[in-house]
Amino acid sequence: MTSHRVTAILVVHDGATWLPQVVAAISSQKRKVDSIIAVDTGSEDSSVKLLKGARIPVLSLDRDAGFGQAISYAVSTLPELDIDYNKENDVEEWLWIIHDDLAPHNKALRYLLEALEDRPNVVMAGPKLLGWHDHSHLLEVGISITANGARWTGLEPSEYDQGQRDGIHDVLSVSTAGALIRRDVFEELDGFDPNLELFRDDVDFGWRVRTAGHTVIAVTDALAYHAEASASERRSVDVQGAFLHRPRLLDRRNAAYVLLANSSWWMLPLLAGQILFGAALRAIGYLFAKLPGYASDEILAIGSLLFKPNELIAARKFRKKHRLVSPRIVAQFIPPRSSQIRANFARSFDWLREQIFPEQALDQSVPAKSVISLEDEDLLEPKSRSAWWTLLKRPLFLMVTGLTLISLAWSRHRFGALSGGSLPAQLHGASDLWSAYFSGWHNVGMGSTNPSPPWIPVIAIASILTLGNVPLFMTLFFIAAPILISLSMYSLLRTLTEKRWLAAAASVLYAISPIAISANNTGRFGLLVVMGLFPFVIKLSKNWYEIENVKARKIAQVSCILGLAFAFAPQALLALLGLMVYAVVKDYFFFERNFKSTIFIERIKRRVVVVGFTFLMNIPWSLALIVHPHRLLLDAGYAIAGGGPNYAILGNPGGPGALPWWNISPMFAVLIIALFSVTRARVFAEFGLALLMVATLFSSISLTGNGTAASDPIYAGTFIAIATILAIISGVIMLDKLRETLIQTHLNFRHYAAALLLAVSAIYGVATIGWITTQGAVSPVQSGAPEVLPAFLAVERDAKTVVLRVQDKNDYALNFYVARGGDVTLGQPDVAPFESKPISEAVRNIADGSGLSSGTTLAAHGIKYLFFKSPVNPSIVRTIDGLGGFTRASSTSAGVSWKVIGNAGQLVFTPASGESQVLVLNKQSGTYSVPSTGIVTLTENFSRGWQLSQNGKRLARSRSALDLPVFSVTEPGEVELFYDGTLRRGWLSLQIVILVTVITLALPAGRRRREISEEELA
Amino acid sequence: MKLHRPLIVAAAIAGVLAISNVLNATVTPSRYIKSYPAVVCPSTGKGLLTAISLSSSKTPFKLIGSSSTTFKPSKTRRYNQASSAAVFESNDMTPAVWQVRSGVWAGATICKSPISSQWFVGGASDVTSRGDLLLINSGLSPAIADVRVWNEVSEQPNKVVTIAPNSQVSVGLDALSPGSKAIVMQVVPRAGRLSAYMIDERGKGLKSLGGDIVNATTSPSKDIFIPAIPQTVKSIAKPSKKKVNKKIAKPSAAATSSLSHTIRVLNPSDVDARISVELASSEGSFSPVGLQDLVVPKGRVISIPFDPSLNQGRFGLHITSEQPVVAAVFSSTLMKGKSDFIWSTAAAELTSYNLALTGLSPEFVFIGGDISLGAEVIYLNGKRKTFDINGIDFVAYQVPQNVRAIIFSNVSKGVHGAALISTQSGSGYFPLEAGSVLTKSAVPTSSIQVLTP
Repeated sequence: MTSHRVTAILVVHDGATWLPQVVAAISSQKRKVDSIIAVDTGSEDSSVKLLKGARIPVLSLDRDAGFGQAISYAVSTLPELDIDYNKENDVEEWLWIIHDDLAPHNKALRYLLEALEDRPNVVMAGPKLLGWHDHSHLLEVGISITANGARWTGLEPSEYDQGQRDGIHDVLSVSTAGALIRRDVFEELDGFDPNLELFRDDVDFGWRVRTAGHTVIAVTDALAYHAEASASERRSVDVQGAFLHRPRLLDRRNAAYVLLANSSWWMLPLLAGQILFGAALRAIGYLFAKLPGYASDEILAIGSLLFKPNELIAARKFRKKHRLVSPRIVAQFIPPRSSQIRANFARSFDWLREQIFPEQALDQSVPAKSVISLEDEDLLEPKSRSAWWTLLKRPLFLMVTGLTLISLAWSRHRFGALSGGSLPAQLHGASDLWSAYFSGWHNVGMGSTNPSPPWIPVIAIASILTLGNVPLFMTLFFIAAPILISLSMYSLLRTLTEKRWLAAAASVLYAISPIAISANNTGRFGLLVVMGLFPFVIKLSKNWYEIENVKARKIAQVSCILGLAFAFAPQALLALLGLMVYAVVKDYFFFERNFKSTIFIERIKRRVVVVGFTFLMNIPWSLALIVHPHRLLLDAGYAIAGGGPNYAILGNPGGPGALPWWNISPMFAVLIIALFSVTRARVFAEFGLALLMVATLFSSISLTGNGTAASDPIYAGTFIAIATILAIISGVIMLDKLRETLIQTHLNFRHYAAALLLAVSAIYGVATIGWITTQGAVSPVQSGAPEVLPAFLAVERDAKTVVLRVQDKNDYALNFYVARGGDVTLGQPDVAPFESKPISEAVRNIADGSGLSSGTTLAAHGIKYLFFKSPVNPSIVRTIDGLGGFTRASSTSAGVSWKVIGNAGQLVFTPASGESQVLVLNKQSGTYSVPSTGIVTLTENFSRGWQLSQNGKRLARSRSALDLPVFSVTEPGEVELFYDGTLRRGWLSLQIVILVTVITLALPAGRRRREISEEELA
Repeated sequence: MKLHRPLIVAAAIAGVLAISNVLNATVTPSRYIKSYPAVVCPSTGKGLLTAISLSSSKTPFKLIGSSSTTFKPSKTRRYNQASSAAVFESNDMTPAVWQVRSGVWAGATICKSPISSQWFVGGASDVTSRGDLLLINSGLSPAIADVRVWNEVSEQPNKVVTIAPNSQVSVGLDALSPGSKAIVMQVVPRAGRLSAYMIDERGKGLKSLGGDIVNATTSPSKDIFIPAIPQTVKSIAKPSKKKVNKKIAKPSAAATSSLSHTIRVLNPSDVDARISVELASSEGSFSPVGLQDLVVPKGRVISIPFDPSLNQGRFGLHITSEQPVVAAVFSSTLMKGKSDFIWSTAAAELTSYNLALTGLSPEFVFIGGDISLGAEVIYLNGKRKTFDINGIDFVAYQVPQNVRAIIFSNVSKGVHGAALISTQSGSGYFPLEAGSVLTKSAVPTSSIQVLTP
């Protein structure tokens, strides 16, 4: 039987805090170590004194000496290994590496050595590491490394040790803390890599042991309690060539080093890319968490490694020399990517469960010590298991399930790509949304330079959930919207009432409120987003009146949400402005008209900051609203009319897809009743009623916009939505304590009012659910709507077509617009221009039969086709037939089309002779060939961004009588057409800077590990 | 005091609602374009004379085929039409057209704006036929017309006729459906601003058998009103048994004989129709014997001869059918011993409109239930006379001489009217319909919403 000679090497570095327990643990081992030696790396505390007091021989090294160096130094002081003697006497020499913050259990060494007995291949064994403070906290049972360099233990966060991992396991490596290493192999492999001063030296060594043909095991019978002082920054760690005291830098640098030094050569490019990308992502994350030091660690760590490749090259050479098997031998120990994803999902699921079932989470979060103390009793008591049907007692579960079923029934005609109402078709993916947002020029109508609304990138980012498939995202969004907004409202109401059933019922009423139904049925995604966001705004705005006491982070958070709401629904800014003005006026009187009051000024400053952030986050789009303030009243998408003031006063916006007038919501009644309440419901009701009246007034005003020159009544959706939220809050506050009050009092008017309110709400709920699942499901927004342009016109993607359409079969109104080879897509109505005067005049003349020159005008604007969409007005068709300038191209069920006679193209060249010709794009070179001198007319709306360059020089540009850009060509040759979007890019850069600033201010600051309490870490 | 707060709230809400509704009501409505499309008058065939009655000598017109696109004033209230068709901007006044082959036959019609579909019930394409279908493209783009023809056997293959911009085409009826004794045509413009007229002229060798303009109707109907059919009675020295239909002959007509009438009917639907005929005249309204529950087979032209046994004058017919049909009545006339014929076609319900009649003195016949309408006659000297026309079932009114125009107004529901003109050259008929209907369309508005499904 082999006898083992164990030398314990204790490495000490400012470890006085833990050292007494560590020394005691070593000396109390049942299987005594044969010798012990301590290495102190320049401790500045009482570590050396403590060691000497314990009569442990101490070797001293400089403070900057690394961990591996310390071990190697200790080994070098040991008597030389006599291999022949050991063979003859069947003796194996082992090194037991002990950290100054590691306390092994008194049987740890015994169990480690016992595990080695019949495992001759094992040259490295480690104990089960448990928390220093909480001995039930499982830290490690062997370790590995992930493809991105993260240290991988395979354990859940704060995993409770119940013996579930027990046994002897083959692992890639074990922590150096408590590792037992055969001395001959240690010396053969030249010990720990001196380039790895502290972190990952264990994984690296294990990897090298494995590729040298040996085995590493974790022995869970052997226990050791680890304080992880370096990893948790309980002591400073010096790093060569970087800022001092950067353990994270060292950790990241070493992680990359281990991967790049040990992996197969053909894996290196992939690994390098992964490491770089991962570092960049983490750095961004740390920046948002306001931890710039950690962010710099990430970048510096990778930089220091990649810019000094000599170390890596030498390390790879060394490993190659000692390698017996392929590095891929460790593949079985490298966790697959799916494991990491699964772990992340599990964490997310746990978080979600905690949010949904906080009671269970609380039940489970019993303090660890009490669990330990009650362990035996737990075994005797029957386990309480929740039956599935108890879910039915949970209002939140019922609310979500019920709304899901209702929404599915409601959306049964919306399974597919949606369009209709105010929602344009979404034919493109997220990348098209991005390019639309960054572009300074939009191919809609005769072209537009209006800035794209900032909700476009938000949708593009959100569509990552559906892998960039925007139509699918929008479909799912409208199905999920009732559930999401009800959850948002529930989250707010739970802060106002303890009654979960009341909160859930009110949230359901919110999800099926007239405004929510109208928004969903007409495709007003912006309004739905606002309905989801505003409960959070109100939740965050407690004590908002005394804004001087609100933390800057909270102000930034509210500004962020308001900025997002403003991006989706400009009316939100008006509501905010109104509220701020009201607050300032109130302050003015509150401070007895003393406008020099410090608090008054401080309040104004902070209120200005909120409005300013909200506004600036959305530049340059928000700046355009200053130029055209009426657009503050327009929603995203097509400008669809509301139902007018008589609907609005009842909280119903009216218009297409809205609830019928007879289905009156209790909202108005609640606001009126709450006005006479003695609770704080009255304050909410006052604001709610005021907003409802503002909505009523705005609903009576007609506006043009979003590409529509016909004025329609404003859809005051945002005002009604906020009024609805306030009405629901008022109702919940009133009903919260009402039951107790009613029980204690005699029958009076309150009993009747409460009964009436509940009855009206119940009737409204039932009637509304009935309506939306039957008649309401046939809404303006539908899936599978055919394209407006027939295929033969849409096939020519860049061709401009004037589309005529009768607005209503029963009306004479005729509308028109210039199509660009297809239907309008998401975002385009928001930037669409009104058509130019000459085009409008030409179309008017077509309609009244006087347009003998209409064809010429349209051709001059590059319009190739005229299309009258079915149902056509036969009289106008005959008129167009008889006008001249148009050749009938088709007459199908889709409509009647004519080809415009004349030179219609994007670039038209006119020489001095006056015989114009269309220039054809050379697709290989991307240029146009101009045959002689003359002028080139671009058939797009005039914009300074349009440039025509020849031989690297920009040609002189002027504006034609038709408001088209005209370029003077002074010599024949190739010309290149481009749009210079520098200005737009400049504005967007500024927006990004502002966004990053506000978001960074709004995000909670991350804690450095040294700021986390030991109990939490444990 | 307790009521103070509720009163303020109520007043505020009421005030906001009131202001909002006032604001809402003051929104400017859409602007509309109202116009009367120009009307197209038929061309004059070889040997024919055409006079177009206008109400004003300033009525702008242009000739089809002219390279000029500008309209010039007519300078006369009775425009003698040249060979080319003409386009008149007569606004709300419908010009009447009188066309004669001097001393042989006469016909009447109105100038009409192009419409989507025209049905012609009349004409023949047998050996006696000298008739034409006139297709006039008053637009500046090519026009294409689908001509559907039915005869006494079945529907004939469609003909497609292309008419160059600003031009006219005359197609012989015998070319469209050779050898047919009774035809019905439908002209459907596939493209273009197309108007159509039909001339039914017949002859046997050198002998003329008469002629007429066949007026168009718009669409088949289950209720057809033919308001004015001339009843001509001639004296017979020796009654001939061959010429008298024993079944419907009037016993007292031994000394006189009325000239023949034939109802031409087409049932273009997919199932057979059953029709009944009711007659209205100054002698009363009744259902003629033998004209009840007549089966009209689908898809072929049926001719139903009848004799109403009435005195000299005019009468109207009301045909009811189970399926939409088109119908007209062919009547022989005799004017100073000269034979002619007249096609009395269906008339749409009479509406308020203005008819230019310079040089004509027709007799208007109205049929319907309670007939009530206002009329204003404008004389050539500018004087006006207003009167009402009232009656039950059947009313006739003779327009005096020297009338420039007549304005119909306050027309009661269910009244149909037509005009009969008799001159030495022959007789003519046209339904009282507006040739150009006020077209109302909003000023087209730029709206991107046209590009959403």
